[in-house]
Amino acid sequence: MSSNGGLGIPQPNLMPALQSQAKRTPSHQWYLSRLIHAATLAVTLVVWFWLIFTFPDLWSNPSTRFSTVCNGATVYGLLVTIVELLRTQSAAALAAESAEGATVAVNNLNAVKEISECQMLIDVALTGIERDGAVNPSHLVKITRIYGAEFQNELADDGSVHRKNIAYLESYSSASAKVRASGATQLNGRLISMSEHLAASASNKTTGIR
Amino acid sequence: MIPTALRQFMTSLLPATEERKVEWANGAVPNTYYCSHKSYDLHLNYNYDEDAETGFYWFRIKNGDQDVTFSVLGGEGDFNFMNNLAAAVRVNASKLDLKISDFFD
Repeated sequence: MSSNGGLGIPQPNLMPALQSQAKRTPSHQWYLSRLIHAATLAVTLVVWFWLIFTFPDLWSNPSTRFSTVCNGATVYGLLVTIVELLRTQSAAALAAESAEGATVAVNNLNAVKEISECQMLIDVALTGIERDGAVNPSHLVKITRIYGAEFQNELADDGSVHRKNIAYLESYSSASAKVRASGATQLNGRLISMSEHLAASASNKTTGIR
Repeated sequence: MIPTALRQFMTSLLPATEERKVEWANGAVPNTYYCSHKSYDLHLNYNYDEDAETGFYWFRIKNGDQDVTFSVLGGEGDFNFMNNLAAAVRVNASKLDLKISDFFD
């Protein structure tokens, strides 16, 4: 990366994208708090005592007392199980979501790397035009390959600037070396336009992640 | 020469160019022209071969991964047709035909 710095290529800051992954807290999923078990116990006990006071028969002899205590324990156990099930499902969903986000981030990182390389090649091409008026066609081939891959959707439209930029560079590559040496019109402008498109695309990739 | 399978296409391309059903643009260097139409990209170059001491036309048809090029050398039977096509393409790319009607105004 440091070798790119000298050419004045903006290095995108990827940290915000990665940090935002960690910031997502499931505040809306109440059952994820560990206090929920205490709350369930409290509710169960309140209902249990209310039942005993309302229906004294439940506490009339040792047999019914035993069965009332057991029923209360069973209901609490059932509630704990349901809550734990919800928590497990939710944790799995969160893990899947995070993994998906990480995949997108990694894919974007790779794309941004390609874009940086393409921008570097455009800078080299512009330097070549400045120095001896011509560009090495092998650079243009790489530029059109990465640029074309990046803007596939735009290339489907035969009137888009992206499509014209590629066709223009290809017309340059197809000319003989002697004709190319005589200089090209607009080539600088086209390359700068492509560099701008790539910069905008890289910027979207690094800030567009949730 | 023009490949036989593409002869019909090239014959239809000339009136389409003259009638502006397709739009050509000037390429990066003189005597290069390109046309983006639907999923197709067409390229037409005129070059001079110094060894053979003859001019030649280079034509490319690109549609995604499909990419075909052919050349028409001076002296070949198709060269006159390519001259006519190139003239139509130059006019189309320059958009001169859209303005020249004001010449006699």
